[in-house]
Amino acid sequence: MNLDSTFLSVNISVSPFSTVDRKKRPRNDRRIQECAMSIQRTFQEAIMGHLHSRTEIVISLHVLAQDGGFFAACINATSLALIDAGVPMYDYVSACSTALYDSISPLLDPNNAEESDLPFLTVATIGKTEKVSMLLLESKVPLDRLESLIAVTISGCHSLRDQMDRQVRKHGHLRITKRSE
Amino acid sequence: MKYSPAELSYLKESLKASPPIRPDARLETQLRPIEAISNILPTANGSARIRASDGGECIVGVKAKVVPTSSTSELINVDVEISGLKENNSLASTLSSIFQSTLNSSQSLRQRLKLTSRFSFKLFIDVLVLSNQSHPLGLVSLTIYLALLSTKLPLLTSSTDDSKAEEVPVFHDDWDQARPLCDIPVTQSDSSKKSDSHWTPPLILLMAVVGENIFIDPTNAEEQVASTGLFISWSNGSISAPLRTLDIGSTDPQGISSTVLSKAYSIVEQCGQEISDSLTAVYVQDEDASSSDF
Amino acid sequence: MPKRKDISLNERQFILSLLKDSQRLDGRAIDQFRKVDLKFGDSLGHAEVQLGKTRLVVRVSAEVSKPYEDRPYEGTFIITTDVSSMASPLFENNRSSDDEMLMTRLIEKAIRRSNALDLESLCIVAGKSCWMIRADVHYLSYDGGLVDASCIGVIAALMHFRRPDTSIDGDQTIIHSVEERVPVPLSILHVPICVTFSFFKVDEVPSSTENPVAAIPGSGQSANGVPTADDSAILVIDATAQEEALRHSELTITINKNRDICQIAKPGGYSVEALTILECANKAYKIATNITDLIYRRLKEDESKRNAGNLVPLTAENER
Repeated sequence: MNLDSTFLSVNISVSPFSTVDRKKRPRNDRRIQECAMSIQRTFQEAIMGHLHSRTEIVISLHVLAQDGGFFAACINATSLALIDAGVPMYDYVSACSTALYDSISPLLDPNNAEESDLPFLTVATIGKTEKVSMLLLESKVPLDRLESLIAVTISGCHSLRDQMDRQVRKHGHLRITKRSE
Repeated sequence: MKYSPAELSYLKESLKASPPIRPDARLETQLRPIEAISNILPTANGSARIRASDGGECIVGVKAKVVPTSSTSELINVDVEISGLKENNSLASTLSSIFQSTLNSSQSLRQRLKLTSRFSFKLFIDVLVLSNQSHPLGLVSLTIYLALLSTKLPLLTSSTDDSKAEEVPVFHDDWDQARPLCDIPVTQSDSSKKSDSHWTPPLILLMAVVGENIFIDPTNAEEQVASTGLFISWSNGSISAPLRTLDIGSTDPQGISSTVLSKAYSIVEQCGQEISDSLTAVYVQDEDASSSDF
Repeated sequence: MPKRKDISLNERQFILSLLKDSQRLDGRAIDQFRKVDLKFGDSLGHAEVQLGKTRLVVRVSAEVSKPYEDRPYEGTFIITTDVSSMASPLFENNRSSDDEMLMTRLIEKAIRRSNALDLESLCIVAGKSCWMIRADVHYLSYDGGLVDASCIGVIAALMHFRRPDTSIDGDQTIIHSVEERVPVPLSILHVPICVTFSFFKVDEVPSSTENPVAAIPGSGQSANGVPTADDSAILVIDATAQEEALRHSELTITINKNRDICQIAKPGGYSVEALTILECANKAYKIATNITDLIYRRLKEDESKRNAGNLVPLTAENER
């Protein structure tokens, strides 16, 4: 373990009522564990870990309803929760997914039905860069379509980053006005 | 939170006094403020979230599934998950079994879940306790109550009598036609008007006993000095089974006297209806808000 | 991909500064895949892969079992990858670390989820019986690139494997022994090949005592979002164990000869340019074509060796 940095641990629990058909998932479901690990590694790079060395930050994610974009939503929620907790970060981590329809057109933020039939890709970026922090693709996509898929997803991430920033500022403003009253 | 012996002794003495002095100046019959909202999950038949003032938070989702009646003995399945604790830890399984047996013993609920002579709905009540400072029983009970109030089941369109020919039940496509699982109780507490078929979910109220005093909705500090915990169920305007003592982490467990028990009875009789009325009001308000959205 | 091996500071600086000059400890170019050595055993479905010092054996076996209830027309296929201490003392027996879990998931996604094996062809009687194909991967020695090597091993072993023929006589299913009927090959729909890329931060090479903020992504970015010079990462293909222990992030691309990307996984870590990822995908394609050709070549060699005594090559394919 790196003692110069903050240690992140991520737990994801998926409620049985989150899907259309009730399904109880074991906690050691590999897909969920993989998701938790990817989140941990993504945020390890995004937080200013050296400011809180020898500290553990526990992130608990509870998924209450699922309709596509599971992974992306987990990352965005973690990002906002870390900001709310006051953990110093370099920038927002925003994630977004894109499906490929008809092997040609990219489809931003697919829902459950679209995800089950189409190949889709999830990307996380730290701040508004063209740099990809996390990328996950689990189904077949033609090599020549990858570029447009990634491009659309990154632009989705950027617009999400702006929206999160707006909400955080709005929330911060609300807090400050409440305090000054 | 750990308290010093002096703090615990002070707390115990003030709670033993007559009338008792609770650290937050509540009455014996008074609950802490809660923030409740129903129908928060689009994928569940019914759902609710309650936040307690001490930071406790509980989310309940109710889902229904059609099963052949003969295949299962229990039509209600309650599953409690407490964040931060392992699956199948004793607190979670105690809570699951309390609610599961209480709900399953309700004949009128079973009647309501019956679809045809062969098929029934099976209810899956999944409880997620996100955080809890004091014993989560009371919080979970309130949330389950609210979630069951908001539960809607699709309207059956096929014949209810399939004893001769087996027929898979068919439901109405329109969610607006769904029927609520519970009858929404009249907000005034007039139990005389209620018919036998009227049913509201049971509430289970947790109380802590200190000396000869007993009070509802104990805080974590009160739990530590209590000699025992006691829970009583309130359903359809009267006290009903179960009535049981419960270990709530007291440092010095003791039995309870009959005077305490009768005090407990009167507390539940005083506030049972009030609690169910307030939760019903929350549900009615949420329902109005959601219907005005369209 | 075990828990981080402790590498001395000298060693670390040496490896990293070599990489900065596009050189590697084993003399390879930084974008060169190690030589793949693929051998088949005497029995069908036994493949041995050697990738540098990484060695593994894959054994494919088949048995008749019941299909899953929700998939009555499909056979079942499982891959077991248990990294034991035999491969390297870094691995613990019977306990899988997070990295091993990721590795298992990757192999599973690369081969099973990409439908490399046609599961429907494994059905014998719908809903009643089917073939269960197992691929057991045994790791003999570890020097990086476990995912890449396992993937080659599993797919080669599947292609090499022959299952007993079956026929249905009324209600009875007859499984013909190998002596009775020529065993049939599995239906492989495509050949997925994994290529793992490792990224190293440029500004951490050589590691010095400069302000740690400068070594973190995002900070090397000027205010208007234009990447600065120290932004790019060193890209290394097919890292060895030492390089794996030092890398800042990894990217595994699974691709086949038909230019279909089956899976990409970059589980967090140091960020890389989107363009670099596209570049990686194209490099992966070239490597995958070479490896696929190699697998076919080796299979052919093995076939001719097996048929050496026969006048007519034995085959289960019927002429239609």
